Amino acid sequence: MAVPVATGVVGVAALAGMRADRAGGYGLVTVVPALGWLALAVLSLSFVAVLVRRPTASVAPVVHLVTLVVLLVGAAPLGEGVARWSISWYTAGFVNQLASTGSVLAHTDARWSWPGFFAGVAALDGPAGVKSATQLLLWTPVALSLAYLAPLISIARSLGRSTRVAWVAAWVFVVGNWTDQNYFAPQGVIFFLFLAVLAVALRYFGHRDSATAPPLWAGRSRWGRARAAVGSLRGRLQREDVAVVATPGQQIGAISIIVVATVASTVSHQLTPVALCLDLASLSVLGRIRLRGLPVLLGAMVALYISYFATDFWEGHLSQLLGVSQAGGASLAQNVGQHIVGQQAHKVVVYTRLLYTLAIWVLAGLGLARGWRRGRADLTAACGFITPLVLPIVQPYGGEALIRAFLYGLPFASVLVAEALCPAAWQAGARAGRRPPRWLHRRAHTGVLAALLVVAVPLSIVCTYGNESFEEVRPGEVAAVAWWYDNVPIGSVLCSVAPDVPGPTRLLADDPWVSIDGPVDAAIVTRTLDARAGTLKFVILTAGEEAYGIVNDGFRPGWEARLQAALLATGRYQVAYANGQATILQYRGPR
Amino acid sequence: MSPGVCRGGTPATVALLASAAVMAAVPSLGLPSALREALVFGYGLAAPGWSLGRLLRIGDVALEVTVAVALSMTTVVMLAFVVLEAHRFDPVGTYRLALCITALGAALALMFPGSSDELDGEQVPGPAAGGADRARAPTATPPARTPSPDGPGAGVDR
Repeated sequence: MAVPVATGVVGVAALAGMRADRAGGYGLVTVVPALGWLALAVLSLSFVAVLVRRPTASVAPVVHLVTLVVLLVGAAPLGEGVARWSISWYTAGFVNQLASTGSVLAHTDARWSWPGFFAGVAALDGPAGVKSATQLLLWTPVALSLAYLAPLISIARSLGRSTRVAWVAAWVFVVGNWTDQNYFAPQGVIFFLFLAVLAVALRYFGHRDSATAPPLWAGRSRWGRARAAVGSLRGRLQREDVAVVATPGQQIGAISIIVVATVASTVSHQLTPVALCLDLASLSVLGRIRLRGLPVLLGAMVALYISYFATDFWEGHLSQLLGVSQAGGASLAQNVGQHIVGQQAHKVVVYTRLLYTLAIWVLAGLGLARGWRRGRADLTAACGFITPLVLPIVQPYGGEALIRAFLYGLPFASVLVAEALCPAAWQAGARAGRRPPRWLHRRAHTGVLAALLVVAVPLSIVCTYGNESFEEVRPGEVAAVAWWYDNVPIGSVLCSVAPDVPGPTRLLADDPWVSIDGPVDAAIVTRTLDARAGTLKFVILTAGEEAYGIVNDGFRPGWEARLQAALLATGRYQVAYANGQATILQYRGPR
Repeated sequence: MSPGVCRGGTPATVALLASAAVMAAVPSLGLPSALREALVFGYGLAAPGWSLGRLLRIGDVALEVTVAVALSMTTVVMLAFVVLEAHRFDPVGTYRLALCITALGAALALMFPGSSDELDGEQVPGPAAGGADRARAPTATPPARTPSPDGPGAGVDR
């Protein structure tokens, strides 16, 4: 226990002193202090050592996992001190808008069609005395990542895995989840409900996959071998009894939890309940859960909500939704092709993400193969891992469907990866009477596991924080936005030259912000402002926008300073506010 | 109501009831803002679900935590969504409703205390359900139930 606590203290101290503002094109990996790396490596080795020495321990692995989350997911909050992702600030704006007016802004943004999350946070903001939801942003990723651990462990256990394999699966999930969807936004919170529903469904209604099948080619004669193969296949696909003996009252309670949690997901996020229904339906069709009718009911409910409550979404995305048949190629282009652009370092980060994802999928495949060798088809885990991959085929989701599909399948992929990596002696269902592996073999297997967990940490940091130069939000940017809100009259307009400014965080009804995405020069900025009605008009230039343009659009370094000089040279702009990381220019109108 | 005993028994139930009353007063106690935020968010995202989830007599700690947080989130989101759709959005009223649900769950647990010989979380071990970490060999019949959710036989891998 002392080791994870000590590594946690050392790691937190090291990461808190990190100069995140010096992160280059490869992100935080270039600025993590040596002590931070050491703490993470020692933590990984200590985790494996605990599993080897104390197979039945439960507190020590939990402490290791919590420390891992604090160091890995908390690296950015510790090192930066300001919540990252400008979009999370915008999400806080939705909550603030709802909290201040008590209503949604219908017909302005499709996200208002799913107000459950915004309303839920706003409902707690008032009693908690929270003036602005921006106060909640910084540590939300750590809190959500910690919350994910409990359902992950529960899912792994319901799949028939041993405690140690379940711990490793949770660890693999934490280091494998580079998708960064745990920030303050509906998808991060609703992903917890996604995990919770699957955990309850598998626990109370799940069949475990059988691990009793005889070898595939056991017979002596040709006919005997064929019969043995058929028997073996049947054995592998055979279901065991349900995971838990539950009373009718408990079953009704479990179904109620599944239904209400899915309803809460449905009113909060557009994609997660769809993925959840797909998972439940495929598990039901393959006979891995006993809830035959429930996925249909939940699917109908989701469809009804989208049809009735989300008309803004329908109107805005009808062509995409009806273009399913063409979506395959377009979706691949959007989900992969559009990300491999910009600066060379950015391309390296994107390729690393692709390879890392591929490695996790390959290891999950190896886990399936290992289970197959041991006589188990592992259909439940395969189903949960593969089913979400349907999503990017039918819907590009703005180029993010593949990332989301990876995330939705990751809980099951993590279990399969753990199955592939853990020594045979750790596996549940190891055949009785089977000769245990030799000492050297066992040690080598444990060594490989430890080495992979150590190597996964820097890879995870590259994949998660590789775009930190523009995903980071700097204190000066937040100060500039706060100055703008505090000092300009309501009805004014703020133009950003790249979609990477922390906000808008309030007054969404006045639609005060406009953003330029793509090539930008002084003439484009002026035309954009001329096209908007507003009391006063401003342009904001930030370090984050500069980094965004360099990384994503391939602009040359210093492009924003040149733009500022060009704007000032027109004589129609003057500096209204400036700090080291952000400048606000006021537009004085046409000559 | 399912048979069984809630984790923590009557003391935990009484504590939940009392905490709901205390938490109702928190917004008006003039506490430091950081403490008030932590209390309201921590309680709002754990207590309602814990109170209701205990009625299920879940034996597994991981699943009990999962259900507590999931039901709490669901409670807050659904209450807020309903009052929003009714054009009567009221954060303090929603919060108080969540506290009422917490108290209701605790009251139900007091009314139906159950017996101490039943806790869910018992796994039916199939032919290969006994994990390598399991403390005893798998059997063909359900193991004897134990009031300790983490005791032998409580999980597939114990």
